[in-house]
Amino acid sequence: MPQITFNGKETEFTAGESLLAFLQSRRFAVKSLILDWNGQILTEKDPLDTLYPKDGDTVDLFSMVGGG
Amino acid sequence: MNVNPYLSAAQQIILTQAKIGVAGLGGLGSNVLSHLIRAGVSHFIAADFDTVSPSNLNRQFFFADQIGQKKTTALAENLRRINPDVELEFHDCLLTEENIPEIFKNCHAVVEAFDKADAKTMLITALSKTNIPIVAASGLAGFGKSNDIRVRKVGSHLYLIGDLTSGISPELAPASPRVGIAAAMQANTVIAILLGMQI
Repeated sequence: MPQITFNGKETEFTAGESLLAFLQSRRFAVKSLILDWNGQILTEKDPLDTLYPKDGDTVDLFSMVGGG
Repeated sequence: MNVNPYLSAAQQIILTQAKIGVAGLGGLGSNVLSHLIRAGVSHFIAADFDTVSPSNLNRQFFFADQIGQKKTTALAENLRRINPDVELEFHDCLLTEENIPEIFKNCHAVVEAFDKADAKTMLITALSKTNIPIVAASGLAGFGKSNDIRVRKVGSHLYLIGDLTSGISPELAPASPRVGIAAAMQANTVIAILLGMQI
C-alpha cells in the first residue's frame, strides 16, 4: 500500500484517493486548515478533490485559529 | 531618520529599501509595525477599515484619546512619533481575496494580522500562488504557555507563528503579553527574511 508522511508519520493511503478524501477519511474538517503538500501551500479554496498524493509525498496540516 | 544605529551599512540599506505589507491594524499589526520601525524598516503598505475602540486598548498600539478615530489615521500618527520619516501607504478599506494581491504586489513580505480565522486563511489563499513571503499568526489567546508559541515554516513561503490551538473564545481572550509575543516574533521573522538570517 502506498505511503505518505502525514504530520511527520508514515501513513498508508489508498492509491487514487484525493487529498480531500484522504483528509475526510481521517475526520479532518478542511475549514481553516493550511496544508503543506510537498512544499506547496494549499487551503480549503484549492481544489483538494482534484489533487492526488503519490507514494512518498509529504503532507502536513496546520490549523488557523482566531485572535490578533 | 535612522532609528537603529546598531546595524551594518549593508543591513541598513536592505531594511530602508524594503517594503512590508501588513494586513490588519489590530493587536498584531499595530505592534508588528512598531517593532519593524524601531528595527529600521521604513516603508509599509497596510490596510484596516476599523476604528479605535475601548476594547482595543488592552493590546493594541493606540491610546485612550484616539478612541473613535480610524485606525489608519491614529496608527500613522503614533508610528511617526517613533520615526517621522517613515513612509506609510495605509488603506482604509476591507481586504478581500480579490484586492490583496494588487495592494501588496510590490511587498517583500506580508504580515497576516487579522483577528478571525477565516480572514487569516483568506489572506494565505490570496498570496499562496505568489512568491511573496507570508508571515501569519495562529494561536495566541490567553496567558501563560509562552514556550508554546513558535515559528513554523509551511511550504515554500509561509511562516506560521503561534501555538496553533489557542483561539479566542469566551474563556480565552486576546491579551497584550501573548499577542505581543506573537507580534514580536512576526516582526523578528520579517527581519530575518529580509537580512537572510536564520528564522
